Amino acid sequence: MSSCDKKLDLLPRQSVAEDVALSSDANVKKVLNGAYDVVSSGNLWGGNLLLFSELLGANGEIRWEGTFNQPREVWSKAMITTNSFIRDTWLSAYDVVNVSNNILGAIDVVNEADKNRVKGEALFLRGSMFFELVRLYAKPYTAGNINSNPGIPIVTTPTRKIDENSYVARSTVEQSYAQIVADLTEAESLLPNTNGVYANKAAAAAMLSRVYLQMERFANARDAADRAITIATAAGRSLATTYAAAFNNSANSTEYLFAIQVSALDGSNNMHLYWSIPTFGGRDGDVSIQAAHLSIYEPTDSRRTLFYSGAGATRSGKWKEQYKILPIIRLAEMYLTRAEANFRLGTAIGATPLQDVNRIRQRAGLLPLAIVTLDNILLERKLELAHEGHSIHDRKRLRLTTDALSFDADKLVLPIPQREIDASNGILIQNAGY
Amino acid sequence: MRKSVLVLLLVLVLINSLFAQILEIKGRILDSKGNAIIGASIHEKNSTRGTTTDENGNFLFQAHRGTTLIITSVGFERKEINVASETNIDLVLQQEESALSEVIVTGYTTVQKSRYSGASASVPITKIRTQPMASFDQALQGNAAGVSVIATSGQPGAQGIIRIRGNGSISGNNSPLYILDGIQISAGDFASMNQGDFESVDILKDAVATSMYGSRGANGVIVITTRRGSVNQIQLNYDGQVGFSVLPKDRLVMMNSQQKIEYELRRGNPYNWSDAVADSLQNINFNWREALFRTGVTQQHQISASGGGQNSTFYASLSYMDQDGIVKKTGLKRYTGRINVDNTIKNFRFGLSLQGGFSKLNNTPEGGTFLNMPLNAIRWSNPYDTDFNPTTGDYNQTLNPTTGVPTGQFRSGQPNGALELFENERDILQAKGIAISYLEYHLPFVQGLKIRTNWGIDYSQNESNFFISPKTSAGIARVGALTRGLSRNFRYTGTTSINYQKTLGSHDFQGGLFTEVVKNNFRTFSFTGYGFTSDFKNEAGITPGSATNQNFIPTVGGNGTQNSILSYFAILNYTLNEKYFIDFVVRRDGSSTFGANNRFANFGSVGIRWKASQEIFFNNINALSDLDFRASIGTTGNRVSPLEDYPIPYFGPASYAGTSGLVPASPGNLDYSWEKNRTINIGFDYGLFLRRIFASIDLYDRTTKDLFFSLPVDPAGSGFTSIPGNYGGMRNRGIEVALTTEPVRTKDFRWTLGGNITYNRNTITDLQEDTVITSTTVLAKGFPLNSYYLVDFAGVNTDNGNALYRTRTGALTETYNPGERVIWGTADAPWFGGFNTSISYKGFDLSAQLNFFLGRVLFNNERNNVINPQYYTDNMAVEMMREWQKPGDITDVPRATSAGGNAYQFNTTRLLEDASYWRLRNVTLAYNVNQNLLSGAGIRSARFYVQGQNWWTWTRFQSFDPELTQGSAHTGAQYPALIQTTVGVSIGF
Repeated sequence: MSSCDKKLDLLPRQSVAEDVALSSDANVKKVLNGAYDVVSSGNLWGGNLLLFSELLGANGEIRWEGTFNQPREVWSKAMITTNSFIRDTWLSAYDVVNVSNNILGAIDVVNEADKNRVKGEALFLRGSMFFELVRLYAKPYTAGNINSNPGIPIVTTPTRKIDENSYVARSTVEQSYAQIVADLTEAESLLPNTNGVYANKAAAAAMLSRVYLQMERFANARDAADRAITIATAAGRSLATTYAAAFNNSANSTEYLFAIQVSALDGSNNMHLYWSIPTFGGRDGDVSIQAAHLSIYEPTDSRRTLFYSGAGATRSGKWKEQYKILPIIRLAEMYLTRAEANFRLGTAIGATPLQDVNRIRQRAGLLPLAIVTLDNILLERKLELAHEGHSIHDRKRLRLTTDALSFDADKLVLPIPQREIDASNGILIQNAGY
Repeated sequence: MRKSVLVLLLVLVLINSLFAQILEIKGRILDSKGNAIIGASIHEKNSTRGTTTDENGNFLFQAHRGTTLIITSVGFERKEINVASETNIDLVLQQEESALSEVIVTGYTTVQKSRYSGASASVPITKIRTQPMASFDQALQGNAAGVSVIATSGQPGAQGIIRIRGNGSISGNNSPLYILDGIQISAGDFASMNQGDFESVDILKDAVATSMYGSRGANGVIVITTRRGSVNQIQLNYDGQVGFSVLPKDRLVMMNSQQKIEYELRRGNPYNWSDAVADSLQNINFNWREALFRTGVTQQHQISASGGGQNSTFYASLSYMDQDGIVKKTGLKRYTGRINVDNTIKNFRFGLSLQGGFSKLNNTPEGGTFLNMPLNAIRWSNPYDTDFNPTTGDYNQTLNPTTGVPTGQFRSGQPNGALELFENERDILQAKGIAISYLEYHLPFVQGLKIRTNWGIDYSQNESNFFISPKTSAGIARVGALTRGLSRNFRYTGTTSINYQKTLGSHDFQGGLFTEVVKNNFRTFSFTGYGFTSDFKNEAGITPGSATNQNFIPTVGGNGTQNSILSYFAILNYTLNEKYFIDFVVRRDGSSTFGANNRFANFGSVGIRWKASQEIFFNNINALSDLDFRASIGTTGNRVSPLEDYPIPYFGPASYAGTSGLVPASPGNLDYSWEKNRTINIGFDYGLFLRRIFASIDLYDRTTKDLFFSLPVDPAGSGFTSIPGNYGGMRNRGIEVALTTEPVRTKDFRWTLGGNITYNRNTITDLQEDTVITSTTVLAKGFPLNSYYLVDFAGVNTDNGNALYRTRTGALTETYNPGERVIWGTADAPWFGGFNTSISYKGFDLSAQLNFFLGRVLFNNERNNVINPQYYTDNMAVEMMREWQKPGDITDVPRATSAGGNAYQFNTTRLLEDASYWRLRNVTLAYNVNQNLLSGAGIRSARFYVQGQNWWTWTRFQSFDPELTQGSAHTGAQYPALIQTTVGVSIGF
């Protein structure tokens, strides 16, 4: 009978057993590429992480007009706990965390020469996902009570078996940020200066500067931004010649510190999908730009002329064309972060705030400022980075009221998906207000 | 020498006359088809002496000369013969004409229904053979108690959804197992099989019947046998039908141009029509149904021959079917051939069946809400938009304002459905081959012992060819797309058995030991090419693409699965005194798809039938011709899990930035195992007045435990969203009543009336989570699978036009709150069945079948898309004309605007409609030509008929067809079931 039983030992055709997948240098590197695949999905940096931020921070400047209810709930701050978009972002982010943990757990089989790079990339992805989760699914760092407000579950070991230990409670906001800072700091130290389209040292420093800015640790933010700028420019990165040239690219612009690779063959760009119009392969023009936003720009601002009309409304030109790369961190952001932090601290590390701001203004076709105020810097930041996923995060840290809601309002925090509340055997606590 | 011979003869005659009182009689008892009747009883009248026939129908018996022998066998008419001098009696027993005389083919054994303790149903084969349906499963509807058959589409060749005694699984398979001549066949490609070749279709329902299929039997088994030749009866038959099909009545009424323009103007004139344009558009009333639908023509032909000599028989057939769909460009062409050969040489019997089928299915995408499904055009396209521009002859469409390129869309952004239907191509070439052979050896030294091995392959191949024209809105971006795909499934089933049959006095044993292996191998691949800059609609038109023109780089894909089962089992049927019948099955199955810890499982069943009417105390009740009680209990499994999961932890493929990768795909579960079913069945069969009235009633209780369940896990902890697991329970309880009556039976006139009614109650008994909500439905403990979960819509506030909702406490509110959703009914009808009647007079017969599905509700998503006021730039249902406009308006349609908390909500009972229906499934009028008229022409038989399918339907459901359901919602883009009328002829030579 036992020889007959061998007929039952059939393996899946398109899968690799776990022990094989993590057994060799080549395979662990394949798993690393798999982690980027997950992070590039439409649920994460393939679009929805950016979309949620913009819809939450709409403040009358953009409208969700599409037929999908899930983004509409986010835009109208009426999210329900079973919103499938919100659920899938959570699920995919933790998928990245687990893949990263698998890589880190198998790091010893990676060739010595590549070990730091592989480990750095895994830490970059894990830290970045924790950061994206904590700033969407938890109260803002600036809301105080960081040692009691619930953050997100932190997991740093790969899952080998589902058992009681697989259920992890939420850490506090402070603990969550501590893990994020640790991951990204270590990633920055390990990553090489250049790494193709994958995460490099400048990307990790830039992400770290974002984290510190969110925490209002301006000196850290300034230094991290300055390091990102220094490393990137030394490696040949620079602002694109025109503002329009920074978007709709089929290959990384010199301005990108990190971007999600999208081509006709691979990858998804949900920002294009929802923000563009059928003429350019998008949906029905689900997001429209309102006059309240357009009126902020100076008339000659080339960032204003990038908007276009289509399907009955004004559309963002940043997401116009199909199958284009989705920038996650642009060099311009680092100049603006450095300017803001320098200004707040009264320092001029790397450059003066005026120099950094004028660098951005000149590229936008505007006259340089003679003197700069914090408001100048923040306005420049808002216009330069508009509709790229910064909206609600900047509004929260700047304590701005959004759609008549206070920056720390319950309704500006996404609900923990009901599915997770149910599946966690009561260990996960729902956010206030849901 | 001569003298001595004469003396010897005289002596012999004398000796013979000395023994004249006792005759040694040899004989053989056959049925009308020449098959041996096993276990027929032969006994002397007014005596206890008797014997039974062996497995070849032979008997040997010593009887007194002049006595009367009584020959009986259950299911056959009793026969008495006088023994004069003949010592060789070959008798043919006629089958009794009643439900009890049917033979049940279980796939491994053949037993008479009247001797079987299991619950099963035989579908009258004539009803299956002649109904003009390309997928035979749809013809089962209403023909068997406990079997629900629902069409998913009216596209020629579309399959039905069959549920035997309800849904037993939440995420696993609920379809029955199909067995053809002993081997498992795929359920997906009946369009390439010819039901004209079928000899019998038996539906096995309870555990006695299904547990011999062990891990595959949970959802019931449909056993099909094909026609074989009969000894010394060479026949040639021609069967042909031609007819037409038309579109059913549309119960979802859309606005005409006048109404639509009026509505648009009321809503603020979104297209800014000038008065003159608005007036002129009101006069265009384009009928989108006429643009896309047509009257379809159907024809089918079959030639078959059967016959044979003493040692070999054959059956062979060729068939052709050509069925136009009622949507233009759709249809099916099918070609099949079959040959069955059976041979007997000494103690060996062997046979071979070969079947080949090929079909071409042209279809259109359906059952979705995608803009580019042409069938959505009849709902969404404005009635003032026409398909073609009469001056240019080109499709009506707008131009891209920047590039001037045609968009394939109307100004509403809606694709031109005619362009989508006529410019795109969608066809599937399907090939199916089945080959089965068997070898049987009857051991010469032990009577009743035989060894049999049966092996068969089922191969199906689907080659798809989908072309999206660069002219369509979906094709513009990449200048058209051609997707070609090939999938093939190969499965072999091999069964080897030792069977033994023995009669000891009043005890009759029949049994077998079996071993079986089933292996399945599925593979598929496809590619999509782009850049159709030339006029080719095939591979020649593909532009290869390059790094600078990535849009045109073709994409490729492929996949495959394989799995196997290994089984050992035993079957025993025991009969005592032809009154008590007991059936046992035990089986052990191993499957490759389950965790190593739980790979094997045991199944079994026991059933008993008691023919109470044979007991002496019933002898005096003349009206009672039959009274049988049946009871059974047993277990089966469901092996087909949702994704053919693999129990080990594994990684799957990924890719990023042009480089391949690996990602964890499943954490595995080494304890993953079968879904387990336990069915209890209690039934009785009741015949009155020489079976002029015959009823079967079955009560069943089917419980499923350890359901396949993707256990949701918190990914924060694990990174996985779910693991394959077994959790939960479900129960189906029901009653089935089948009745046949014959109110009138005279020589020339016969009237039959019958029917079957099933009530099935499905309940989820155990669930890992309290409730699992998916869009409009919920899984909840204590309620049926896929119960609707909606907020109660309570009309419109006459003062402000806001929609009103009823809360769980009964209060009216204007605030929509998903927390107030409550459970409503399901799309699975608890009550269903069919009634049939036939009247025959001389050569004429008229029959009709009326099917019903009652007590079901259906979420009408098709209507959802045409009553949502946001979509007012497209056409809307005419009910929107009743929309609230000013205080005091009494209506059921809320105001259009959403400001002030009146956003349109679809998760409400406003879209839940009564979907019960009655349908006149089939009406046939036939004339059988008198044989006296035919014999001169060398024709054995001739039958002419005219039949109608779905001529009449009663329902309140607002669409074409209440039947078509994909899952639990009526999605939209519906391809309605055909209303067909055909005339046919069957001639036998």
